[in-house]
Amino acid sequence: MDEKSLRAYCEERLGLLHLPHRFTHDQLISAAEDFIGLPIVRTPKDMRGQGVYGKRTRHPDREEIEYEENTSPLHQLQIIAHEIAHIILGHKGLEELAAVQSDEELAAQMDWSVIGISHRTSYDTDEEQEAEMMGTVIRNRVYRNRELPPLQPSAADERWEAAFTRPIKERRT
Amino acid sequence: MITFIYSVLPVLMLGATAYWARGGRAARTPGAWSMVLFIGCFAVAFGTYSPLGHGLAEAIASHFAHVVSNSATLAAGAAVMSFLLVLNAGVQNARRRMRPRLAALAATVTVMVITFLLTPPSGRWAEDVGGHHVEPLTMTVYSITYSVYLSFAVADCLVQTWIHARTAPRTSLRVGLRMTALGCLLTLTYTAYKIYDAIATFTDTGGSRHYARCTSAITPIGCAMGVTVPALAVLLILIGLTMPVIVWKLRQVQRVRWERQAIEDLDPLWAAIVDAVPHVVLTLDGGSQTSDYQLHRRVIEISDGILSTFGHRSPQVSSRAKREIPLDTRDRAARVEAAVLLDALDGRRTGRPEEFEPAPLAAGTTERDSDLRAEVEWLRSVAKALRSTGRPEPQGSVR
Repeated sequence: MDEKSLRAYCEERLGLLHLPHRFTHDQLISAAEDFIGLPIVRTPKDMRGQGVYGKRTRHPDREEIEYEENTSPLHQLQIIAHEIAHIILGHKGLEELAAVQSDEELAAQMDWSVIGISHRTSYDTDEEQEAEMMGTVIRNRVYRNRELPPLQPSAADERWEAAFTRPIKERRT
Repeated sequence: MITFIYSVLPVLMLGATAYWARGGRAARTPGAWSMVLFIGCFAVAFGTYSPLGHGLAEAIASHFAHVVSNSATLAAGAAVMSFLLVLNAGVQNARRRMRPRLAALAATVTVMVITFLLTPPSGRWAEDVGGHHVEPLTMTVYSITYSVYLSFAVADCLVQTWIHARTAPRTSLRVGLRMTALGCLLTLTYTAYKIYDAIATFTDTGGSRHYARCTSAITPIGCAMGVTVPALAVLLILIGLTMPVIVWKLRQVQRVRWERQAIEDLDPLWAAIVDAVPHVVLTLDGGSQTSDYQLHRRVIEISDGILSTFGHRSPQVSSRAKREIPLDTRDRAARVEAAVLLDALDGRRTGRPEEFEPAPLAAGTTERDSDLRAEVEWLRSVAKALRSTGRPEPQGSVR
């Protein structure tokens, strides 16, 4: 999928969460929880030196997100948004599981209540590319929507704002 | 000159009407149609002062231009009420609440036309050339009917703007709406005076057919109330409703300029990181990016790069940099970070073994604000320090 199509796809999926025009990180989490019908547990962790800055683990009764705590708050939010994106996009994260299953020794140590894992390391798989794009779309929307009026204003405040702000055409590079 | 202004102004206003009416339905701002009506009505009102508009109206009846102008002004008032109601109550509620207001407008205009037609041409807005001038009852009814509806429309606007002026999230909007509310208040003073003037002229107990004899902007009182106050009111309303739009647009231009400049400033740092850890870049084909998106990606890729090379952060380089850079230097932390990062990137690129105990990340990394601006400003200072080391920039672009 090219960047334009992927971005459009991510925007569309994000629309399913019915987030307000300006949303907070906590609102994102609770919208994602409502969307999947499971709680999402976030755990900050020292992951330096592992080559992994975020990890999402699917359990039958919850989703678990671990993220690097030794980085800037903005970066932490991007990592969490990336992992949330895996959840919203319905990624199975089975590649890791398949690797574990093929290794008998690892399989013996495996906690089989876990049904899928995704790692934020690089973007060489479709799932990682999609999740990073979606994470970027989420964070970019948080930044952008602080400045721009809603396209479909619903509350009085939003209507007033939209009436007195006309979006300028931004050059794309 | 006055003729030129009255001829050009309606054309400009019709242009503004087209501006509000243009574009797809989805892209229109709330209340856009009300705004189209508002400006269009004012274009008609001003148009009656131009030779062409005046001639056309006068061809129907003597002084009919006055009736057209007054009716268009009232219609513009109703359009503003509709605009503000749409904003405060939504389209559906606004439609419901506008029905009685439009019925009142229709009744008012009907009364105005009937009283106008019942007045003999010599009694319609006759100039007072010395001595007293007693106005016919029909003209008094006309003036009072017109002023009462205008007062009602303006009072409605005052309430609507004041409600939002207290809660608007943007400062420029709050200030603009307060100015508009003040303009409405002055207009109410004007309409109150108009009613008093109409009654006083009818009863021949005063009144002020003295606009032509103004000695200053505030003397005599008739001049202040009849000319200066409404002029000031219109000015305040126009500035109040225009200023927030202009301020917002300027702010957006400033934001885009800041984003582009930040991308440019971060480029050497980003290029150095990508040269050592190219996997941090999200590379996809066929994209076009706005500056905010591009800047966000740059910041995230730089942050990923810093974490990716964490194992190569040399404590020796960190200690040396801290020793060499004087304590009182404002950007000391950024210069230390630049030195450590540069060395770590070299270590990563050349395959140097990782440190047993790597140097920590820059102090305050986890305490910065979580917004893009705070992060960009920090990374900009690191990029600036990096540039000052004179390190040659990697050639070419990874993207």
